[in-house]
Parts: sequence; C-alpha cells; structure tokens
Amino acid sequence: MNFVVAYLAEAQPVIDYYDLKKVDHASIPLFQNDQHSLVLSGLGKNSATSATENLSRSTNNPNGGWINLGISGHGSLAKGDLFIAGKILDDNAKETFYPPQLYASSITVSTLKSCSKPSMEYQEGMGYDMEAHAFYKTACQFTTRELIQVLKVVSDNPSFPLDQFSPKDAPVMINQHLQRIDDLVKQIEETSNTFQIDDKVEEMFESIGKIHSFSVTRSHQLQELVRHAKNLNLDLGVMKEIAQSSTNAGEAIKNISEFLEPYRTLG
Amino acid sequence: MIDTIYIEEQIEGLSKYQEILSRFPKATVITCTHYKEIFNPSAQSFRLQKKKPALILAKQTGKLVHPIPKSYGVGGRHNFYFSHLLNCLYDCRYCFLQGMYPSAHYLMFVNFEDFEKEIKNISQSKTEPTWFFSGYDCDSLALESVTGFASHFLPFFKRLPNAWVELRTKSVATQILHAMDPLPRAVVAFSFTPQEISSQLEHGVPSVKSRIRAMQKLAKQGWKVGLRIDPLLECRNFEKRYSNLFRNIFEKVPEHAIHSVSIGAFRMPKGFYKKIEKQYPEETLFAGNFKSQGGCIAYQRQIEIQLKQKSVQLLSQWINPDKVFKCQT
Repeated sequence: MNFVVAYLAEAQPVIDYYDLKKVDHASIPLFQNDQHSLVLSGLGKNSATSATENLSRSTNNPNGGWINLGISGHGSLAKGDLFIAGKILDDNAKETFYPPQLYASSITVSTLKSCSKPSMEYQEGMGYDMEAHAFYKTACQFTTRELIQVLKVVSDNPSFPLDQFSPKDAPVMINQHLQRIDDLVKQIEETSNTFQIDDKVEEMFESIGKIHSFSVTRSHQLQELVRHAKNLNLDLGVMKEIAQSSTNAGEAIKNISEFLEPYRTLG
Repeated sequence: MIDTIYIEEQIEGLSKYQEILSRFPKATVITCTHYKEIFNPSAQSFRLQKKKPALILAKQTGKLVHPIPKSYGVGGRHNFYFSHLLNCLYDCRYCFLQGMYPSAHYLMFVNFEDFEKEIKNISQSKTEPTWFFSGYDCDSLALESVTGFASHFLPFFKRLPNAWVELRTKSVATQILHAMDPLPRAVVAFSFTPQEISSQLEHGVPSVKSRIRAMQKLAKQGWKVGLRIDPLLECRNFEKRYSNLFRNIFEKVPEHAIHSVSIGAFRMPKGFYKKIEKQYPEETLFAGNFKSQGGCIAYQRQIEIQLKQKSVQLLSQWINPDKVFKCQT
C-alpha cells in the first residue's frame, strides 16, 4: 500500500502499526517496509501532488493501492469519526472524483471538499481537507481508480471548530481506527493482487526469448502465444522445445502457432 | 445487492427515482451533476467494478431509439433498439459490454416517458410492423426488481398497434410476465450456450435447465418465446453439446410457441476485444481460433461457416427453417 499523509502526527500511528522504517537517503520523507510505503506530503494541494508523484517513483508498487489518510473538518459527523470519501470536490477545480466503493466496510461514506486554505465552513454532510483532490488526481495516473481511496478522521465540526483542535490529538484520533483502516488496506491489496502478471508465462516468455533474436513485434506475438498455451492448459516446456528446434525467431513463431492451432477451442 | 447509488441532481424530483431509491433504504446515495462524471472517466477497471457494481440513476438525452444493424433482425423490416439500462447483472466473458463501457456500474435512465414518446413517434411513422429491441446493452429482465422496466413498458407496447417488442434475457425472473396476459406483439427471447460452455463463461447466469423451465412456463401461458444462439462458440464436442441443448429446449417448448431463432457466431469489434482480453489475460476463450477481419475479431471464416451450418442443420430437426435467422459477421 502507498500512503500519502500530510503530517507526521497523522502518520505516526500507521508507521508504528506497520513497523515502517524511515528511508535515510531518500529525497522525500519516506517510510517503508516490504509491503508498504508512506510519504509525508505536507500541507496543501501542490504538496500532495508532488508527494504522490515522488512516492510513485520510490515505491515498489506504483500500480498497487493508494490511500490518502489524514484529519479533516466535517459538517455533520462527530469529532473522531472515520469516513471514506465517496465524492471529492475541489474549491478551485471543476473536476469531481468518485472513488468506487467496492469494499466491504462499515466506514461511513461522505463527500469531501479539498480547500485551498483551512476552512471553518461546515456544510451538512461535507468533509473539508486540503490534499485529497490533488492526491486523487495524481494517483489516477499510476493505477486504476478502484485502488485509490481517501480516509479521513474528523478533527473539527460545528460543535468543535477548527480553532479548538490541537494537532497533538491527531495520533490518538487515528490510532483508534487502525483496525478498520487495516481491514480496508488488506482488501485493496487483495484486489490489487488480481492484476499480478502470471509468473509462469513471464518466465517461459523470457526463456524462449533468449533462444532466438525476436523483434519487438515477434516478442509480442511470442508472449501472446505463451499466454494462450498456458490458458489452454498446455505444457509450456513443449513450446521451448519447439523454439529450440527452430532455426530462427520467425520459424519459432510459425511452429509454435501451428502447434497451438488444434488446441484452440473451449473445453 | 446494491450498496452505492449515484444520482444526477436533475432527476431528484422524478417519481421513478423516489420509487427506486425506496427499494434500497441502506444504500449510500451520492449526487452527481452528470452520470458521465462517474461512468466515463479513464483509469477504471470494469473487471474490479463487476465485483460490486453501483447503480447510477440518470436522465438520457439526445436520440433514445436507434436503428439496429441490418443483419440482426428476426423477420421485421423496421428494427430499432433502445436502452433504459447500460450493463448487466451477469458476467459473461464473451460480452461486448466489457469492452464498450469504461465502467461496470449499472447505469439506468429513469426518464421512461421520453423513451415512450420516441418509440411512439417512430411506430406511428411506419405503416408496417416495427420492432423495438430492449436487450442490447443490458438483460431486459434480470434487474426487473430494480428497474420495473417490463412492468412499465409492456402495457405501453400493448397500446401501440404496430409495434413489436423483444425482451432479451438470460434471467428466470419472469414473475412480472406471469402476472399479466401475454402480449400478442412481444417476444421473450432467451439466450443460450450449452451448459458446459455456460459454466465456463456465463458467470452468475441461471442454469440452462432453469432457463428452459422459465421458457416452457411462459410458452404454456401463451407468450411468444425466442431462442438466441448468439454467440455460437466453437468448443469440444460441439455437435453433441449443441444437439443436446436443442433437444432439451424443444422437448420442453413446443415449436409453435417459438417465434424465432437467431444464430450468430462470436464476433466483436477489435478495440473491444483487445480491451477485454487485457482485463482477462487468463481467459481460455481468448485463445480461440479468431482472426481480425474488417475491424472485427471473429472466427476464421471457414470455422464460422461450419459452426453455423451445423447449428442450422441441428435446428432443422426441430423447427421450420423459416423461423431461423442468421446474424452476419
């Protein structure tokens, strides 16, 4: 999972929960373990954009899941409540995002507006932050929208306005929701894993690719043929033997195609 | 079944919207300016959304009723289709919708009256019978409990003297049809592949046996039923499987109740095919004997001819060939 979080106070519970380690020589404030990466973005839209772009270059899995986590104001939810953004507006941009809600979760879904400066506005049913819109727009360049979500914990509302909020409270507020956050993280990761490339196909493709000199077009053809062979439950080793007994890449493609021909039918 | 409902702000006052919303009291409702904000953006995964589609309630504008391709009819001269719903409850791997739409959410157009107006105008402008197909971008009956489509439109079509309507379905949710008298100018058309193929490719679809039962029940009640063997798919034991399928159907459904049979081999616009194959790289179907021809991915011509000829021959044991229509690639 790739986390983009504005401040260390908001990030610390996640860093502790996943036992993330600070990456010393990174050019960005980056925390990682084998599975997760977290970047501190700082406040505001431009910072969120830069941090998301930077993290995409530093993470092991830019095409995996992305979460923007932090605190926000809200017009009707109680202080300390966790919500997931189902609609993300921006006070200066026309584009609206609707993160698809595919996951089994008890987390309240709410609209969220990203503002250019801290907001004391509290419209019924609306959350307020300063990063989510820019984060979402940027993350969409790296992965599919279903894997990008925004989670916020309510720090202020009409009863407890922003000027009464102390940033020191942020870790405790986020900490109490870590279990539910982790449930969502796991679901997103599980979903993301369904996009993994088939290792057997890749291995065989690379192995055959070393036997002859395949042009770009023939490489694509070879990869497709290996994938089809796997889908048809054929022994991939046979394809390698055919390639080895062929004199060049063109002949290998032709021979492998002919080999597959009679099997190309539904079971 | 549906946890999230998106609604266009402009339809909030429509009674149809209120009616549908009341069926999902626990759903999260999110407003939008236009359905395209949700349905059209890039970087969406049809495959992932198919696991849990949301419902989008919207108003369709522009032209609502369209002519169908020439080779797709079942005997009529004037043929049109209209779509109150985009996307389907079922998840058939050969379905072109997966390649056509960026989103798998159910997009329902609630302005039924606008559809009616256009259908009525077209129908009245023709002196000959005019056909309206309702199941091109969706299954006509599968989401009836949500949309109320058939219960709304069938009485409307009953009042149009020269309009024929086809409901095309893989559903067995036919209760609404049993609750009304059969319409003389309606065909309830069921799509089939042999059970062995259906189990592999038609995810979430009722069994062939239960669909035949639904068809039989409707025929018995006096509804005209149709048989849609589309897509026709090359498979192991093709002749045996399709022969069994036809026997199972015609042993239960009398020939006289069958209005028409249409047959079409698998074919798909190349762009759609590539998009679907990318989403389902592990799918056996896409390792089939297909060729790219004229912007379309289809079986090699010789295979297609064989599949069709064999099917027509098998069908001829059961039904008058005049009732069989071949969809061209």
